[in-house]
Amino acid sequence: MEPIISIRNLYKSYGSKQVLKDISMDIQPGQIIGYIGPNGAGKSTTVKILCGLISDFSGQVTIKGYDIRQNPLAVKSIIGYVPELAELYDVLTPREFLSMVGALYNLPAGVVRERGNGMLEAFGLAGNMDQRMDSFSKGMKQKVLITSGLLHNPDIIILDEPLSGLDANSVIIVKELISKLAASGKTIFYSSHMMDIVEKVSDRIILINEGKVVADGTFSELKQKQGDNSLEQIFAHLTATESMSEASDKLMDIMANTEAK
Amino acid sequence: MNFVDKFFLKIFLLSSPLLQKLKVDINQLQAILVAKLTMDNRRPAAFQQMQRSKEKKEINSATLKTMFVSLIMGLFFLMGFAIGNDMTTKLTIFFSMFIFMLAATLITDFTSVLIDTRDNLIILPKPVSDITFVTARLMHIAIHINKLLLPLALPALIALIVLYGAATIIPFILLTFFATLLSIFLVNAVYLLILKLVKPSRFQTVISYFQIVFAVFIYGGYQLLPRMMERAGIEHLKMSEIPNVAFLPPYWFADACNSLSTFTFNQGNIINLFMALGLPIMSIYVVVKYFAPAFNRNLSMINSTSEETKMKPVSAQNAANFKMNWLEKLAAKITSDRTEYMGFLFTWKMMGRSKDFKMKVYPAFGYMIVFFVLMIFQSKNLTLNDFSEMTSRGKTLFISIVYFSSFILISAIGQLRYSEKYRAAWLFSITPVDIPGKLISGALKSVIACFYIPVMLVITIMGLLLIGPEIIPNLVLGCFNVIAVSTLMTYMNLRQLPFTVSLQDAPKGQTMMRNMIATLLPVVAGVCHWFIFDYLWAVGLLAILAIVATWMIIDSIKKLGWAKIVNFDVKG
Repeated sequence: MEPIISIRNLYKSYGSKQVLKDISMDIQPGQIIGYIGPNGAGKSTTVKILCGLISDFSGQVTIKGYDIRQNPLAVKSIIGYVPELAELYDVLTPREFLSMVGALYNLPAGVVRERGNGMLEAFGLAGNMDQRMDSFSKGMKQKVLITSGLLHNPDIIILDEPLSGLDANSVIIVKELISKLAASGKTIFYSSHMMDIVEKVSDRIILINEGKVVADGTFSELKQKQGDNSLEQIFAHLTATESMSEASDKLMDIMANTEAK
Repeated sequence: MNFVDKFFLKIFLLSSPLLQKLKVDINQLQAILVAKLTMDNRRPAAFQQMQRSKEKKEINSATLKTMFVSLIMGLFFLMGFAIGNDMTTKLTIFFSMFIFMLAATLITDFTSVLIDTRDNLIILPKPVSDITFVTARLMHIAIHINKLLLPLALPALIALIVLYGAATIIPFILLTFFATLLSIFLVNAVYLLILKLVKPSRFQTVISYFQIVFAVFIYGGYQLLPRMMERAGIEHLKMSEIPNVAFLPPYWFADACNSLSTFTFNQGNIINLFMALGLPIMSIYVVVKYFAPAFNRNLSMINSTSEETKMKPVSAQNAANFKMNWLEKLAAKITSDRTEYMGFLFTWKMMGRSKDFKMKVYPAFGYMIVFFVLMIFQSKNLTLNDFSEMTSRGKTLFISIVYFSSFILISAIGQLRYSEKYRAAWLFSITPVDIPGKLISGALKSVIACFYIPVMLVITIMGLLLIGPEIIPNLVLGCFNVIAVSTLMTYMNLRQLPFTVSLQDAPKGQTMMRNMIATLLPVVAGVCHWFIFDYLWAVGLLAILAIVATWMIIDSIKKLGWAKIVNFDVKG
């Protein structure tokens, strides 16, 4: 099967700082990719490249057969992006915001209305459709963002920490939604820090550190290779410069050995 | 969207057939513009940004309010028409005010309204072509400027028609358009200059200083202009007779408008006409060609906490180096225990770093300067002798300046409790602070040291230079009266810990009363001072009393227990 996302020899640098160093991967349709790595590893740069936000990279990125630099609009039409940090125009109401997003995806107004209403209702926001989002909690904004990312029924869904701020029940809804979306053939690119969720949700985990892929495989493959039991341990093993217990020992030491005056 | 936005949108979308040829997606364009205009309408208008938004109420018709304020400004510009007898003179004054006003407004609007960095994450991941996005941004800017422009220029246009007939309409509209282009260029130039001089992350702060200077300037102009106009002769002013006037851009616009509407073209007119039309076109060319690329690149860094802005790691040695800096030494000298010391340092740093606090308090300095200028301006025939001899006029002036300076202190103290980050106040309730009054007294000392001591020094130096050492007792009494009054007001009013109250929770009704007292107390003290001014023994005695009183009140503040602190709720 032809991969839906194909990245070949991707390099990207900001000034003299090389952020991505030779990243290559093929992603098949219907896969859920857990994309993990420590802060500054290059996760969000990869995500921005996939979304067509950054174009000055070297290497080849092809999405559903389209070169991302040659056909950015075609690529953007099949990607749904849910950014981190609840970035949205919060003086608008969800209805207004979604109708703008829908128009940007060139969806008919009727479809936008139907889908938007239905999805927000499913998220329990039916009563908030016409309230300005500046009074919303982080979780409510996140739900609107997820809705806006799925509105055009994209083939690929890129999620950047989609669960931040959501309450436990909403987390379950979104987790199940992710599985169901993948089962229906959608490709999910899930970038996150939350190891336990990545471990449970993903079919395949890609771990990057300092701009390079350091591990790639299913959770059980990674477990076998590394001999660790949890993704957390695998992560620490592959990315930490000094051992975690050493660091915590040091902390304990300082507390015990410095006197309070 | 209101009718104004709908109107402008309709007008601008008339160009759709042309835009479609340029491959602009009209549906997307319209969707972006509708969202942007709706947002503009819900944002506090420029003139409201200086005030605290006291209501939690949703802002609804910011557009109409902004336009109304522009209209008032436009009417205010008509003052220019009272000057001089010929059209060129009147219009020179008008265009000066117009360009200044428009540029000043746009300076703040460009970042807060027109260039929204959230676009990068919201619009750019969608399948929107570059040309559509750029067109949307340009149209948004154009609509925004039009909304300012029309009410600003309309009163002048009507006045022109009444004074000089309908022939002025087209030239005036044309030249107003070109003056607008020049204003846009000025704004761009200022932006680029700021971006060159400071880091993008500091950009917003610099812009807010601009806003402060702007507010003071408007206030000053409003106070001074009518007084200047009262002076004889100004209505007979003839712009063209002023030497070097040909170097002033507003003069070109005025003269060009004059010659176009009267069809008189001598050599001077033609040069001015050429300058009025040529310079804006040239400057816009420069903007598009040279400024815009660098501008967009830098602008995306404003507000962004992108990966490029790396924190410089403080070397471990530096961090471990607990040597006190001058501020900590000062704090240690004038505070008496750890909690108060903490309150002092905390307040000092918050005051210096929170944009909101600066926006509220710094204008007070500007108003004070305007006030000084005004005082000196109004007292005609004032000589240095009035000071050195301490005539009754000199005395009045001295007292006014000393006591008026309490305005700064009082406005700073009034702001002390408010902060955007009021939620961080949980810190004070979870730590074992025994007497919260110590935090307040530390904060008060910090305000006095930060805002009043410099003013006091300036007044002292000026007093010594103009009057001589014999002013010292009166100076000491004046300054300590101001400190005592502010301290007393702190004791009576400030029952919250510093920076722990939400700006939105600022009470509305009571402040009136407090402000009355706040202005009344220094005035009463000043009047009393005026009467005893010449009796040095009384001045000396009262100065000592003022110092003792200050010390006692601060001591009482320091003893304020938790029971006296107005409960702040810790939210979120």
